[in-house]
Parts: sequence; structure tokens; C-alpha cells
Amino acid sequence: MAGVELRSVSKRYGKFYAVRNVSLKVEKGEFVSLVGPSGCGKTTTLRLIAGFIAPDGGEVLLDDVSMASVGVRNRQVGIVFQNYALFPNLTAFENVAFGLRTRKVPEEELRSRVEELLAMVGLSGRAAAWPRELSGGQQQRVALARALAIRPKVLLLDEPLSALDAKVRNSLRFEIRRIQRESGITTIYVTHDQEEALSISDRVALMNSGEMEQIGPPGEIYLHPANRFVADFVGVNNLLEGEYLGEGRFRWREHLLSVEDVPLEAGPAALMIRPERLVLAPSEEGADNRLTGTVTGRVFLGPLLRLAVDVEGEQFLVDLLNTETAAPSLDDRVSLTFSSSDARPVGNTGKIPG
Amino acid sequence: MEGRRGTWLLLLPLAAVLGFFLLWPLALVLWESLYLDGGFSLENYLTLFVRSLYRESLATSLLLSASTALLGTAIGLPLSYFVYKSGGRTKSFLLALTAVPLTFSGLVVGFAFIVLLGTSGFLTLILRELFGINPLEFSSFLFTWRGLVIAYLYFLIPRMILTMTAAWSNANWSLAEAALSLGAGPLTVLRRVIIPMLAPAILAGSSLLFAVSMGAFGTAFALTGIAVKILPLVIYTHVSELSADIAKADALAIILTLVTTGVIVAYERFFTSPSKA
Repeated sequence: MAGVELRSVSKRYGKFYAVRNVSLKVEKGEFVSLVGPSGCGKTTTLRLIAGFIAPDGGEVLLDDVSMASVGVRNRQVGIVFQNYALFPNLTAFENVAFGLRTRKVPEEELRSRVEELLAMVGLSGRAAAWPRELSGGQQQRVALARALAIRPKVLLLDEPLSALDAKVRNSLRFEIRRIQRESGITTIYVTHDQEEALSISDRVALMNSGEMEQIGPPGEIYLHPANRFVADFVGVNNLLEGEYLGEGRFRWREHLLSVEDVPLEAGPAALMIRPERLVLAPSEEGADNRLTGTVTGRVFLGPLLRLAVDVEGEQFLVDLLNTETAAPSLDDRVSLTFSSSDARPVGNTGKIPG
Repeated sequence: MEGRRGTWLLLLPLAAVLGFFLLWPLALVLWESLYLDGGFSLENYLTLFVRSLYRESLATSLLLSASTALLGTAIGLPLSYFVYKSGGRTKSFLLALTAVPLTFSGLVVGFAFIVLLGTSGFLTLILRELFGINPLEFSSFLFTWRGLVIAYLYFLIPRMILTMTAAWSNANWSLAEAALSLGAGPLTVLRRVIIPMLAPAILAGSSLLFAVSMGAFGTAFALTGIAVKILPLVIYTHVSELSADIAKADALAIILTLVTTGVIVAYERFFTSPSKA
């Protein structure tokens, strides 16, 4: 059974398509991220699921039931907003209790449910606190508890961490995932942060200009991007403009490279090589996939050392583990190699639906 | 230290303006109201509470201001929502239009109402033609404090609209959306979310209306001369007529200042005290 299903959903504002022909099926209990640059339609998609706006075409289903005639009030969706949106005139306890009160849950049951939820988000001691007395991270925990209180069919999170500082963001990220696993609730998580999406999701849905570019597990998205947009958006990449010749062969300038054999029509394409998959070759032996250049930059990234290498005017990023003792210095001549399975040709179009 | 001195220097012009045009005159007025026959005395103030003219004028002023604040808020609030919702160019246009009445002198507003609703006013005559009303009876209300309420609303409602349009724009609509998603009906959203959210702005707006009507003079003067006993007019009679009594006028001015400032301070206290959001 699908917890959430979008069937060719579109939303137009005048002539502008905020969401165009989007289909997505989220299994019950699954955690799916909608990710993409700002204005890509991810938040609109979330609002269509929540019922704040109605689609101009297509259909939204929750638990296999069409929501065409069901308003926000009766959809039973839990929503967590970027700005927390806690009711400032209610305590943490009353915020969490809000949805239970509208449902006329008996006082005793309500009390134990709210306490249980506050404990789950680690705020047992703060039931009486006013929202303004809580830190951003704490407020967002209350917001999460409030959304979960009504036992929603689906939990919708709209950039819930982007207003928080980096440290809180990282710890809360995994806590959201833990709570989601424990409660087994179908979750859709909107973010512009691809790293965040990759790190907590069962599947990632990548959007651009109102359309779905690719839907798949994080590893799939990272290693096998459907097209140039996905390759560019996810992670740090070297993208070489050249020509795919078919059967795992790619021409970049004068070099004939051996690359992943992908079902892509021969023609102009980009070649994606992840910085961590580029290897410094010991000497100038005439092997395949060898490019020679000059080190023009070195950036220390903690566990990694990132080199910028200029190869025939094109800048390559190369990530080395910082344990390597003999890292090259600036202006050193180096040779880069990579295995054919780590170089993936990507076209401008081509989408991979989930 | 250097930075602090810089701040003081920057504050100097403001301090000078406030000092010369607010504090110094106010101090003079206070001094004159207390200084009587070569000594200090509270007599000027005491007579204010003894003589019925003063008590009545204070009561009428309070009644007038409370009525205009209440009505101005009740009418301005929905209108401000309409202006806010109109959005884009329409909103800018409506806001500009709303600001126009605020630029008129009180006298102009007073005469406009005479031309409109006076004994031979435009509307009065139309109503006579249509419904055969008696112009004298109809327009007599205009020259009472109730008439002042109508006239004051003309420049108070725009104030409310301007204050509230800003509040609507700053409102956190996610709160309403969160409440809806939690199953709250429109009335619950209004009662438990929107009104509490806007309460500070509504109170700020209405206390502004109250303070403005307490002190308004031109419109009342143009409409009623000095027939309606309200504080600003009574003060006027004490400084202009043969029976001029500057010391009483000073005392009245101090009372008026205390009431209007009191309303504003009470509002500030209420909303910036730590126990209240």
C-alpha cells in the first residue's frame, strides 16, 4: 500500500508551472526526500500533498484514497514548518495538545499522549515552557511532537532544519530519522540540501523546474545520476564536456577515454567523475584514462585533502585521504587516472522515475 | 569608549529636538500650572476636579476617544484585511489613497462634514428630497460629541488601516496553516491563532486612535466651535477668550498629556513585560 501517491500532478500559476506532471509513490513507512534548488517545486509539491493548494491536474492519494475532495483539516497530515510555527500564546504542552483538543480527546488520554510525545523528542522537563523560552532546536522538536500527536497518515517536513545552526542541524537530522523509524510513519522531507537528503532518506526525489528528474535510493542518485542536472546538483563533481561515442567510449578533447557503458545515445554529453574516484598515478606510464596536469590549489577539509589540478585549462578536483603522506605540493606535475566504472557519461535530458 | 561617544554624538540632534520642542515647553507648562502667586500650589489641579465643567470635559473626552477607538478599530480591521489581501499594485494604490485623509488639516475635515452633513449639506438635502427628513433635526447630531465621533472616524480609520496592513503583512501564516492541519475549524483558527497573533497590533492601533482623538482639536473646533466640552476645546477657551486663565489651561494640558501618555505607556508595559508574549 502506498502511503502517498501523486499521479501526474500539476500546479500552474498563470502560465508558469510550479509543478508539472509529477508522479511519485511513497510506500507506507518510507522516508522520501524532495530535493532541488529553490523554485524547483518541492515545497509546492508538499503543499499539494498537505492540501493547502489544489492541483490543476492529476491526483493526490493518501493511503490509496483520493484526496480530491478532502481539505487540509480532514487529511490527517502532520506538518513541520521551517519557522517552527509554534503557537506563541500556548505552552509547549498545549502546542502538542492542540490537535488532540480539536479532536476532543479525553483529558486523561491527552495528557499521557502529550507527555509521551514530549519524552520522545527529549523535552519531558519543558512541558510548561513558552515557545520563546526554547531554543530553535527545541522549538522544532515541539513542532515535531505536535505534528505526530494526531497520528498522521503522513508526516510532511518543509525544510525543518534550515533555520538552525550547523551543529544542531546535524544532530536533529538523525533524531528526526530515529523518531520516524520508531513511529513507522510515512514521511516526506523537503530540503534544498542534497547532503541532508542523501544522509537520511530511504529514497531521494530530485526536482528541477517543477519536474521530477530522478527518484531513487541515495546511493543510486549519487553514483548513477540520470542526467547532467542531477550529476551537477548531487555532490561535488568534475563534469567534462565532450562526446559520448557509445559502448563505453568518450572523447574529451584529444583524449579517448574508457568510461561506463550507459544506455545513452552517442553524441554530445558530459562525463562525470567524482573527486574521490580520481587517483594520482605514480608515473607517466601510457595507460588508459590518464590525464596530466599541474596542482593549482590545495584545500584542507579535515579527513580529506582536496586538490585542484589544471589539465589543459580545465580544473579537476581530486579528493585524497589526509592520511597520505606524500601529497603533492602546489605547481607539482601530476597524473590522474580513473577506472572506467567511475566515469559516467550523462546527457542533458533523461529522467529516471521511481 | 570611542564607539559610545560616537553614539552620543549621533543622538545629539534627536536629543536637541526633543529637548527644545517637547521637554522644555512641557516643563514650562508644568511650571506655570503649579506656580501661583509667588508660591507652589496644587490649586489649579484641585479646581479641575471640583468644577463640573472640567470633570465633564474630561469625561466627554474619554467617552469620545473610547468610542472612536472602538469604532475605528472595528471598521478599520476588516478593511485593512481587504487592503492587505488586494495585493500588488492594488494594495499600493489603496494604501496611498488611505494616507490622503491623514494629510488634511482638522479644520478642513470639519468643514467637509458641514458641507456634507450640515443643515444645508449635500447629503442632508438629498435625504430630505428622498425621505422628507427634517434637515435641522437630522444635522443637529453632527454638532454634538456623537457627530465628532463620525468626523473623527474619517481620519482615524485610515490610521487603523495603515497600522494593521503592516501587521497582516508581518503575520506568520504558517501558524494558521499548522492549526488547520491539526484539524482546527475556521472559527478556532480565528479565535486561538489569528486574534492572539494580531492582538498586539490591534491594541497598538486602538491606543493610537484613542490618543489621537484625545488631542484632536481642529475638527472639533470647526464643527462645534466650543459648544462641545472636550479637553482640547476647554483649553482653547482658557487661552483665547476674555476669561483667559493660562494657569488652568496649563493644568488641563498636563492632564491631557498624562492621559494620552498613560494609554501608550500602559500598552507598552503590557506587551513588553516578560510574563506576556
